This record gives sequence, C-alpha cells and structure tokens, in this order.
Amino acid sequence: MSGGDVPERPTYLGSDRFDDLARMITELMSELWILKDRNMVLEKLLDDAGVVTTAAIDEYVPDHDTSVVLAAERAAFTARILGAVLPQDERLARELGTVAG
Amino acid sequence: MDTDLRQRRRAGLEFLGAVQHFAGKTLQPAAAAAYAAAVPAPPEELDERRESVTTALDGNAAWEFDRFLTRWVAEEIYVRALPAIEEIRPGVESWLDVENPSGTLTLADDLVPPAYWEHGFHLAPGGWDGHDLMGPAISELVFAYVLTPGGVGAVRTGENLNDQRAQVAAEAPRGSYRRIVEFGASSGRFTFALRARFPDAAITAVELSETALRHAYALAARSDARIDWVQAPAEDSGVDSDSADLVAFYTLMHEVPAEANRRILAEAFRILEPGGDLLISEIAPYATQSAFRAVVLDWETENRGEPYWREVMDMDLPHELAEAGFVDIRSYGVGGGVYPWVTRATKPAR
Repeated sequence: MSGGDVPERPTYLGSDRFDDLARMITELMSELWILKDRNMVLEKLLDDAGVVTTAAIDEYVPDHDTSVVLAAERAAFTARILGAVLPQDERLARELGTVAG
Repeated sequence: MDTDLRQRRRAGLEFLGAVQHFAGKTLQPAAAAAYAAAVPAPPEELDERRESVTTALDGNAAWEFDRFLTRWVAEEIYVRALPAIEEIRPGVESWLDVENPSGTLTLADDLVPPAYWEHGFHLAPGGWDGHDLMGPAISELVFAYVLTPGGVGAVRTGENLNDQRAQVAAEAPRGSYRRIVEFGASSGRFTFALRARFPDAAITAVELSETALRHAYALAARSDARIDWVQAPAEDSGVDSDSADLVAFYTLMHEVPAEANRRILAEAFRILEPGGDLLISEIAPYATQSAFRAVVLDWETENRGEPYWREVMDMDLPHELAEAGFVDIRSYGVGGGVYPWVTRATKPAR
C-alpha cells in the first residue's frame, strides 16, 4: 500500500520493518490520544451533570480495597507488556496464574 | 458548513495536526540546525544539495522522523477525513445543495481531464475527485484540523494560509479591476481573497475538480460572493480572448507539468486584454532559499504526491513569461520574505 496512486512508498527510518513499527507506534499514539480525549470529554460531561467533578477525580485517594485492585491490575499490565520479551512457556505460566476461579 | 464531527473523528484529525505541528516546529528546525553545523558552506545546485543533506543527516533522528511523520500524516489525512465526512454526509449534501446561488456554476459533463490530472495528487486516493465529497473533506476538515496547525509544503507550521492569500491578492498592481479570471481555483480560498480585495470586479474561477467547484459554489452562496465557477482546464479555459484585465493563480503551477504550464501562460495571455495584468503566487526559486529548505521542498516530489514539483521548480518563470509575450515582469517575496512569492507581468498594450 502506498497512499493515493503513488506506486511506491519510500522508506524513512532505514528499513521497511522500522517504518512499519513506527507506523504501528503512531497508530497506537493516535488511539491513546482518542481515548484520552474521550476520557476528558466524559469527565467534563459528568462534571457538568453534577455526577462527579473533575476535581474529585484529581483528588481521589484510593481506599484499601481499591488500592489492592489497582495494584494487581497495574502489576499484570506491566508484566504483560514488559514480559512480552520472555519465552513463551513463562508467559503462559504467568497467564495461567491469572485464571479466575 | 457545519463540520462538527463525532468525537473519534475530531480527536483523530486533531491528533494529525498535533503530530505535523511537532514535526514542523521541533524536529525540522533541529534537523536544520544539525545540517548547518555539519555543512557550514552548502552547495548551490539542487542535486548537490540533496546529496549533501542526505549524507549529512544520515542517521539523524530528528530528520528521519520529521520526514517519516510528514509522510505518515500526508497519507493519514484521507484515511481519517473521508470517513469523517461520510459520517456527516447528509448535512454536507444539504449544505452543498444551493438554493440561493451567488454567481453561476458551469460543469462540463463531457469533460476529458488532461492525462496529468489523474496522478495521485497529494496522495489523495483516486486523485482530486477520488471521492464525491473530497472538496469539503480537504478544504474544511483537513485545512482546519491538520494544515492550519501543522503547515504543508511551502507553508511553514503555524503560518496562516488565508492571510497569505489575502497578501497575494493585495499585490495586484491596480486598486480595482473590471474582470478577473482565476485559474486553478480549487474550493475558492484565493478566489474569496480576490473578491474581498476587489468587491466590484466580475470574477470567473476556472477549476477542473467538480467536488472542489461544488464546494466553492456553496461557499460563495453563503457569503454572497458573486463568482462564476467554470469547470475547465486552465490551459483551455473557454474564456473569451482579450476579455480580462486581471488573470491570477495561486500555487497552481507546481501541480501541472512544465509543458502544460507553458500552455497555461499562453492561455492567460490570450484572455487578457492589452495592458492586462497577470498575478502568480508560487514557491520561491530555490536560489532564494537555503540548501536545507530547498531539499525539504523538493522532497514533496517523490514523497507527498507532487509529481510535477521538481520539473516546475526547474522552470525559469520570468523567462517563460517573456517567451509568452508578457512584459514588465517582476518576481519577489511579499514582505521581503520568500513566501508568498509573487510574479507579476503585463500583456503589452496595443
């Protein structure tokens, strides 16, 4: 795919694979921004409707139970992304350990 | 035109503007500085300049990512703008349906566009009219969300595209004109600048793109601009000989091959009355620009769907105008800069 009718898309970062990775990153950035924008819009609308203020969200201090839930999800999130470099059997063992029940 | 978009489309387009802004404001100046430090005495010829910049900035992250991101944004604007305009199609179609026109719209049903017009201009899928709403998609959405904050081509990041058109319109030699013909009007941004500058002139705007013309026609109705829009190639406009006292075009020339440009200049000469004025705004000659800037501009040729850019920049416009019969030829940067770059000429009086 080249864009428009241009027959060949040039390479900019030294190799097609680097370019491809960079395109994935820019697309991910875009998705992240769209989500952040939506989150900001959501907070604004909730604030306007008197449901919860942006200040309340900013100043929220998690109680003990919420802190535990957040910590577990944070650890799992970090492990999945940074652990993507680990061997498959280790990644599988990690994920099997997260099976509920 | 109401261009309120749904959240995802708006945020997605705004993101492109932010990326282009960062590339133009931060990465490109960093690359320019690195080049200046590496090559304090750059070459003068374009081919040597390209080799010099490529070599000196090989592996320079700011340069490589500025170029990568600029290309990515240029592709992505259609991926985002066309679905965005589709989501608001009913409103756009209603807006384009002009009930109280201000001027006329003459479309050529049997038009066979020049072969050069079918290339992938600006990386637009299917070319200028690759989508029936391409005109408003580009002129409303892309201009607002991406090109205005980010810059494009010769327009640097943060510069005002509409202000530049007004500046060029003000460079026409006379304070008033009886009949103005514009070639390559697109959706009318420069046409409306001419109208604002010359409120009493009859204005005919010639353009090949039907989607751009429909958009311009609707814009003109909303602002009571009194403009006659004509679908035709600039080199064969259909306008009567010796009938205009001003012919103008704004960044048209680099969109067509050199040979077509010669025909366009001949057509301008034909339709101007004796003593009539020609006003052209284009990219400034590379001799007036730094080596780095010249290479950045030349890059458009292979990378941003500007297939005729390099050959047109190689033309000697004042010479071509003289060959076409024009006199009193002047080229200069408005305000002493290099963009907008204006060339003025006159058809000899009898």
